[in-house]
Amino acid sequence: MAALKDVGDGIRLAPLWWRLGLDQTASRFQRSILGPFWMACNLLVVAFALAFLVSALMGADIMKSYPQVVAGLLAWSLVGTAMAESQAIFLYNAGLMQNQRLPLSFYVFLHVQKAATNFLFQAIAFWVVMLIMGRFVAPHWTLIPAIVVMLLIVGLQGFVIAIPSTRFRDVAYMMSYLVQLLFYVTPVFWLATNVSAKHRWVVELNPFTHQVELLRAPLTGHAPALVDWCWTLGATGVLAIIAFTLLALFRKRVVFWL
Amino acid sequence: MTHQITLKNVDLDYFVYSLRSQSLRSAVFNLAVGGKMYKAAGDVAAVKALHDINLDIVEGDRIALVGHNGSGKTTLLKVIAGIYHPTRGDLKIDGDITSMIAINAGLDMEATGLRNIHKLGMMRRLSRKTIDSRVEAIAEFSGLGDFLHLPVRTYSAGMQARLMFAVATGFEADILVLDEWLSAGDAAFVQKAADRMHRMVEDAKIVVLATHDHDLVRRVCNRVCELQGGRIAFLGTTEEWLAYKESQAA
Repeated sequence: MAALKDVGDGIRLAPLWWRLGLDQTASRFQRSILGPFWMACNLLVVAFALAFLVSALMGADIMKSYPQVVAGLLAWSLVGTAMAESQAIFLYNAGLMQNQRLPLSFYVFLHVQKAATNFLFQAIAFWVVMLIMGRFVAPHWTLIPAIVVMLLIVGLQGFVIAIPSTRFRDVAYMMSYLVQLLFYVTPVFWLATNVSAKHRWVVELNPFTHQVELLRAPLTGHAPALVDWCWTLGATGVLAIIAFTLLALFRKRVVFWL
Repeated sequence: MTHQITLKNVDLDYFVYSLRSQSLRSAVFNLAVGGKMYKAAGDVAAVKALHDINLDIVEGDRIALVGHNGSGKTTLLKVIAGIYHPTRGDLKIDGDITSMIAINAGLDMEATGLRNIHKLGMMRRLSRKTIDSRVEAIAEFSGLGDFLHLPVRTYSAGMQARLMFAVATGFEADILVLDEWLSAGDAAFVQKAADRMHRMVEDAKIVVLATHDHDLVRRVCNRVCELQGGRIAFLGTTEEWLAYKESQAA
């Protein structure tokens, strides 16, 4: 019950984390000329480098899968990058946590807000790249529910990762390597269709494959498969149970772990 | 609405996690040895920071928390501000709390003083309009003049204290919780701050202030709570406390 109240209080503070999230994002790029557009550069650089490498080294026909790969990289910013960043949710705001009473969920919502902003900027970069490369496809309408579900996962995952990482600092360091590992075993910059049937199960049983696919499919103009929805909604349910258990057990303790 | 803070039999155990215990290795090791060896070695130490605190703070109180370093002043402030949940006992708070515990908490060192007034106002959940209407008065009270256009990282501790206090009292607040940083201001500013706190209390507001500065206590507060080793050693009016101090010195 207390955990639900914490989340409810967090929702009521929406105007605050909305403004604070924008503010923290803006201040990350203080004194730079491009400002928040630096967030888009990550995707731009990788996309163009890939375009150059792939077409130069492997022949032009691989360029057919180019939009898939770049859309995969964009999806990863919400699936993977947000996961890697969630270890710092409480550590980053330690000063604020020790100075003002706010529910724990406030900091998680703040994290979701920042992840969404980052995704938006990268999405703009994605469409710019696609226009330049002459491969622009209008997104499928399912992109909107897919983003909503993924933001829900980012939030729940935030609790699941941030609470243990605040208590055990090794978890915090481990996360960045774990996400790097996941990046290679998940079909982001390679395609699941290229995997031999014998090893296909590795891809199919990876929940992150389905999360990436859920965003990638509408970005490249078609609806995601039912199996991707099932896996992702299933993951949401599991994460919700773990997140609320952790929140109920350790809500009052986290501030002492900082 | 009446503003009130009530603490009843409040205990607070502060868990100190040494570097060793914050690593996963020792937690895994704990499982392997049945969770006894490392704990017995005192890896997670529970410090009883507050013990059986009973305190009633009512409208119009300007209460000072005094005591040696480590006596529990800041911990009690954090309990009152709702940051630490009491381990045992009851805490009841009626009113909107503004807490300014660490001097630079909430200050963005890269942003200018003016921008920080806006940011701190935002943290108090005030609308842009309300903030804009107060900025001028806050800027004037801080006495920082043109320095407000410089980044806060160029400020001295005293200047930061001026800015923080001006903001803390420049926006509406029912209950104001302040730690010792106020003493960083110079004599003229401390006098100004004292006057302002007197006026706040006329609007039925509560000020809780932790300090080492006896002079500040005498000038600002009407009640004193002295802590010793996490327990209340003295609770009474400022006059009573001054007499108590004198009797102790004699």
